[in-house]
Amino acid sequence: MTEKKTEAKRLIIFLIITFAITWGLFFFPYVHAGYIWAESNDTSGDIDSLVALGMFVPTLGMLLARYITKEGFTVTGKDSMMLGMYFKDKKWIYLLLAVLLPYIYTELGCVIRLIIAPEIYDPNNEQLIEIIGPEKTNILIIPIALIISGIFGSCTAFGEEEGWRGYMMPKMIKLWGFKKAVLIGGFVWGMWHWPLTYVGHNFGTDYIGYPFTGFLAMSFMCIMMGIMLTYITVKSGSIWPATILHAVSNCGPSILACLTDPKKAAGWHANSILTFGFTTFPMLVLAVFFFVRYMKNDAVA
Amino acid sequence: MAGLLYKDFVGIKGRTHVIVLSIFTLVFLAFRVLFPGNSGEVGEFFDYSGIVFVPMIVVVTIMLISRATTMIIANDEKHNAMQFTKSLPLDKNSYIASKYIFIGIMTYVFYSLSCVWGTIFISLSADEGMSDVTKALMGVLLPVYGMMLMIAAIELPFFITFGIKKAGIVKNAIMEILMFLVVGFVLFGDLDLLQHIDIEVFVHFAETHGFALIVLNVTQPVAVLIVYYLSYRLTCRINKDREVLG
Repeated sequence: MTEKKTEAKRLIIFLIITFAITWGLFFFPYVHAGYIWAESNDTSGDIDSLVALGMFVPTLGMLLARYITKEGFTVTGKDSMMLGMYFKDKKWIYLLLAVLLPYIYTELGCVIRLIIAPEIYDPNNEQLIEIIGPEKTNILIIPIALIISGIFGSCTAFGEEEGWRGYMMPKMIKLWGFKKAVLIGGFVWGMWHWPLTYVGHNFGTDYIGYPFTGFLAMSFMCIMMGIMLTYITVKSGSIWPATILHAVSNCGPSILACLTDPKKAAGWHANSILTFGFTTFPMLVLAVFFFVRYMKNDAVA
Repeated sequence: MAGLLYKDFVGIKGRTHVIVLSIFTLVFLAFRVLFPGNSGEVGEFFDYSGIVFVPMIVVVTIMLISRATTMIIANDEKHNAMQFTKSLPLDKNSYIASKYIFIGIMTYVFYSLSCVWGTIFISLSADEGMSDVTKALMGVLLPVYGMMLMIAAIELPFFITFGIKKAGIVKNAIMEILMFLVVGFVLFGDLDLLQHIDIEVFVHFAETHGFALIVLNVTQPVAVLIVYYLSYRLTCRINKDREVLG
């Protein structure tokens, strides 16, 4: 069997295991039960936790695929689980990027959201006052606090990244090259989220073209994030920068987000899919930047 | 560096620990699927397994970290690994760095494992009350493991510089002095002092300074990491001119 065929076989086994376990055990029970994810913050912690548990399945899929195909469990180096962390040759930059990028694109996304929907600006919302108290300058601490809690609570993000970026993407890059791999890989990663998108986890359920436009938007967002995550994984040779970027991104560190109340959005501004295109624009710009940079400097090498 | 870390991993029988803890985690997962508890209504048994099993894994992993701090140095002393490492063409601080990194990684892994156990419990629990208790317990995990790292930051310079035997004697002596002080206070001290401690003051402080507590909770691990790094620098400085450690 040629190397490419072996890699393809491993990739298929990984995807079958990951999709079967996650969709079967963690995501589809909600779809089957007709559960709709609450749009406010009062979602049940139990359901949050079950989803968090589902985030470990890609790593489980990777371990099982490695065991079944006798690929081994090398910790660092070529065809490894990429668990090493490197600082030499300026590789520490990728860790710094992992911490800062989510803040940059989240904050800029909020700026755009406020420009197109100024009615959501509410610096006196009750939830904010409850957290920071009467002293408004306390708000500056919130993104730092979210970044720190994202870094220290990165184990669930590791569960995803070790599977997607640590196993799936290197195989796809070997099979199809960087350009096709990030597109297909991002789409597959987005597809993995579809049951959650269906129950309203990402965009709610009250939007044009529900649920199909939600599926497309989720896949598009995963392609964009996938480009950034794959870039820093390939360049750093480690899964940790991607893990931190993913974890911090999930925390959504932003000052402006605290000063807004999305429930006040009126008209088409309240449609999550229509505003999605605007708020993720900074992410798109960054993704294109990393994609072009990789194709220009590294693709041939 | 990877080689030095692997040596310590083998030294503490890391593979066995990984297998045993993985099996325990899978057994716990199966246990939760089979016995998710109940809604805790009148006449039903409450589901206390969360406040038993999750702290249990925390205690076990904390014991393992504490034991590992001693074992990785003791193993090196036994096999003369320090001298051997010094003879290799490695950066002179590599040996000391490997000890700090190893304990740091171990603490992160065990903290994550405890979070996984907590998440398993909450996600498969039918008892909302117990889920809330477990969530509250999970909130203190980071400070608890931060404290373990802080203890390691104090112990490692002594263990590396003076060796396990001498540092162990000093450690035991300090522990015993502390114990004597506590026992002495209970036996002969003025216990009325304890009555002046008003818990309501703390409760009131927590209610009025909620944000300060959030900031403290978030910055505590960063402060611990800074102390841990300073401890590493101190150990490097102390052992800078030593030909052979120990």
